[in-house]
Amino acid sequence: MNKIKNSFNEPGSFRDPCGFLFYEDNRIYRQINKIYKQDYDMLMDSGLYKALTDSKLLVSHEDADINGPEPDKAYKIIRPEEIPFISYPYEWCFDQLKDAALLTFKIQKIAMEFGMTLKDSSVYNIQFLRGRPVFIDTLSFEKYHEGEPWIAYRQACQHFLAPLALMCYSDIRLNQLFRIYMDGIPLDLASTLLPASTNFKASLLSHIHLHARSQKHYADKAVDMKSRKMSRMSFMGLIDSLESTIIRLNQKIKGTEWGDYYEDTNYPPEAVDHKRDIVASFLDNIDPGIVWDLGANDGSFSRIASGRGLGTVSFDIDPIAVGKNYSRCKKNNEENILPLLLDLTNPSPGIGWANEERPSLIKRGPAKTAFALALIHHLAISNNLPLIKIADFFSQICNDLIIEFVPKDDSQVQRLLSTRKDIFPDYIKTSFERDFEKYFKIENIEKIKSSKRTMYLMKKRVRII
Amino acid sequence: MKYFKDFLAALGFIALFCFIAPNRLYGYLDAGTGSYMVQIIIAFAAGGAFAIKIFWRRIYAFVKRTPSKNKDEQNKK
Repeated sequence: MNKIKNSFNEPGSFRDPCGFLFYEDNRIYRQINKIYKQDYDMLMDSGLYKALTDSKLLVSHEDADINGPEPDKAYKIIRPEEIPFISYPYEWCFDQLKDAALLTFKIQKIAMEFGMTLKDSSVYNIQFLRGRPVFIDTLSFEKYHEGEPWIAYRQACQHFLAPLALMCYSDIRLNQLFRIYMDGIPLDLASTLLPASTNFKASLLSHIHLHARSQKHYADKAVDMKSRKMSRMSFMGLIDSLESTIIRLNQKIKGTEWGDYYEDTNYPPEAVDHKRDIVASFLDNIDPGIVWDLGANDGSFSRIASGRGLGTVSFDIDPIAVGKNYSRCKKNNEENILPLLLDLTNPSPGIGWANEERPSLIKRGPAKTAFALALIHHLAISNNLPLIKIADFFSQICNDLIIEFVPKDDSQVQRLLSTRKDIFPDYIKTSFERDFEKYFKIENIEKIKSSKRTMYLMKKRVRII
Repeated sequence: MKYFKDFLAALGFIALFCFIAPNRLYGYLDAGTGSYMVQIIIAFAAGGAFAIKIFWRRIYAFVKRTPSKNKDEQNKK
């Protein structure tokens, strides 16, 4: 066996005594502890692992010939397939969360066929790989004992049903509650926030409203659980009930600020085509690596990168635009693009224990290349962000930057200024270039035809990759 | 009609909750206990509905299969 060098534990992997994730030389490994031996062997020997990985529902792994950080406890070390970009439910659109939920129930049903069950149904067990959700926690499976209830039921309601119901019936933005509540939305809160009409929907009444009341009722009491058994049929019925409830939940589409942006632009088709050509030629002149498209809307420009086989994360602030982007990915089976929800003026922070369990956006970077197309005026004028601060932030999240400067006399900027006083004397091209040159070297400048806008290719002054 | 069915099902759940909720209780603090109890009740009702669903699916599959099977046999002849 080889000796371990530069090994450190994944900060978000410590709650499960059955094992944990760790890194060695920038590669991720999972230690499986001896106490999980029986269940792990059953997962592998029963055919469940093969069934799930063959259908791309579970992330695959291979045995690793190294010692873990805690060899005394270790039964095995495995090396799971890497996920290029880890994302979280507060960054997903409605359909991404719904697909994650349905994947969990599908896996639970398949596991039952092999005599196993999921011991947890955390939303954090799901990641997106090659355009589709995939289950990443190999340690979540255990032997099913007939008569026992589903231990993951509360989590399934808090992590999937409650947020989806809130996004469907109350407000599409309520998945942001995941930023505050790590273990899913508390059911008493969900019950309060959902409209009263949901009391007349049997599934939501039972799984959320009565569930919340039951939690409150039994909070200071205990029940002789051993005397109460749950048949296999009841178990399957419970899963089927949750699954069919979630299938019936659908995002209510309403027009948002950005949902129809590309039908509401101020530049002619030849300008759009020229802008595409410039982005493509800039990409062809660098080694772009992973690309983050900031303010991507429905991902039209992200596809210039993903179409070249580059892993592309397509961020936008608007849940409807992200939803459209995700639908397009699913429809066209696009594997290189991951649409995500992000407010750049308040990017995802580090949350959980010691603010480390779910790392911030910056900690999940930097990207090799970032796009900031038709974005700078929204940051500088709508959000009063000084250009120097924008340049500083971009230098923390990327190495190469493809950025579009939208001048004040552009009609979109005029629209932003129409309802407010112009307090932005420094929002001019020379100041933009001066401030960005403090952090980046300008490699190329191209003016977009039939528009007042300019495209820049910049390289960070001190390489971070 | 759909809403009426939902309403009746909702009333059914409330009634079930009142009747099946256990009397024998001990004391400790745990949010999981309430989840456990409500799960038993919901699973009892959902299990019945699931059994009926499977039964009807089998009947439907059988009825759907029978004519085509006969048709196949006729074609062979």
